[in-house]
Amino acid sequence: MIEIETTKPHSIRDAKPFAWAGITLMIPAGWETSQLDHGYALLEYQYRPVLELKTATIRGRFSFQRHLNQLTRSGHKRLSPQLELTSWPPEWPKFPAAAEVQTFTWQGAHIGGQGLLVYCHHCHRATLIQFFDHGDRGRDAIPRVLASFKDHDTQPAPTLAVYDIQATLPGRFTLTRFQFDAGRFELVFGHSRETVTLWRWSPADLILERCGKKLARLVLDNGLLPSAVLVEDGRPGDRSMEWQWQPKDYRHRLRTFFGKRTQRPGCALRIWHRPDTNRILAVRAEAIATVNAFDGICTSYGII
Amino acid sequence: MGLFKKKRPVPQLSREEALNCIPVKSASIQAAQTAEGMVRLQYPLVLKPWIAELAQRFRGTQYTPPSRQLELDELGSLTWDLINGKQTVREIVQQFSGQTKVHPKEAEAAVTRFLRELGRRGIIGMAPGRKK
Repeated sequence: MIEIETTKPHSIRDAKPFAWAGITLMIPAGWETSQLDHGYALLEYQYRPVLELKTATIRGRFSFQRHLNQLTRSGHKRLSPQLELTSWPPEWPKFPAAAEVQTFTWQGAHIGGQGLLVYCHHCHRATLIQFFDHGDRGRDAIPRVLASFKDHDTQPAPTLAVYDIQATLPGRFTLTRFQFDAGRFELVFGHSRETVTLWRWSPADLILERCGKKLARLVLDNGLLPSAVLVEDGRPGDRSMEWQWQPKDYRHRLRTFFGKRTQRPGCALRIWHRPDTNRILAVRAEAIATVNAFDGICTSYGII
Repeated sequence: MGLFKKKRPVPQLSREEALNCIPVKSASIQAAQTAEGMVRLQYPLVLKPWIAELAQRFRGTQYTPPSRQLELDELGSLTWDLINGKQTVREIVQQFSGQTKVHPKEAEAAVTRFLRELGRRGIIGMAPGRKK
């Protein structure tokens, strides 16, 4: 794990978390998520790109030049200008000796930037981060952002912190599918047979108006529940609804047939309205081991 | 020969330039308010010149293009009200985001898609905006 030593205490007053594809950073509050893909993120500030991140787990031996070339060629923004390797800028925080790091700069026709490639020998992950230089004070934030860099965690940290949502899931879950549409986000995490799906809708007041101010109607319209469960009334809470049910698939029938009395994994859906942020959030867990795990995910899921 | 003349590629606007454009409502649009407080637009159907010519010859009288109606939803009505011929796309996005508490990136996607659709129907045009 890479934990960077920093001599200055990190101010979190004007910072917010960003977590995607296993990389966690603290970024200035004004920076926004612009594009996301598998192992890729582009952040912007006032409609201009400020940070691009590409990450991949390296199989086999790590070759600095080869993987630098691979990562610069991949992703949405391909670096066409020639990279120039540079020495470590004195204002940037030191990375531990266990991490292989190389900094570089590049200059295109309209924009330039600087960045670094980090390879963690512990998690075998190579990460390319580059900061776009618009000739303003954006450079000042770089040391603070780099000081917060983590490529895998031993301490609790959000699994996901993008756009305006953040959530912490048990480490075994990996992101398998995601879709970010204006007004509706959907992210699916999986591990073996366990599946956790997160949703976020916005603006909530308008959506609830169309659903007759009923969260159950939203659940119905979006097909969040299996048809067999739909007939059951959900358990109402404070601006929320919750359903819990047992899957009735072939595994369930086999267990019943053999008279197994072990605790079966269950399914649950919770949907709640956050009027303060005008958002609706929902979590559905399928074949999850315990209700506590589901509760933990719901508690961690919120708006940044 | 004009027929085989190579078409010049239309210059593409950068994102920055597109956000600095000013949407302007077409003069031929009639906007009305519905009982639910939404905006209903009546706009002339834009026909290809040769179809309009053909229609005029068949009718014999002065041809008036058919009109269509478009009823906007809450967010569409809000965006329509923000178009005043002075505000840039960027400013409209910022106001939309502030009023609906929608994430700025979502606001940008929703507003620009809506403006593109209005432009396709000839309801609005884009004036070159001021540089920020």
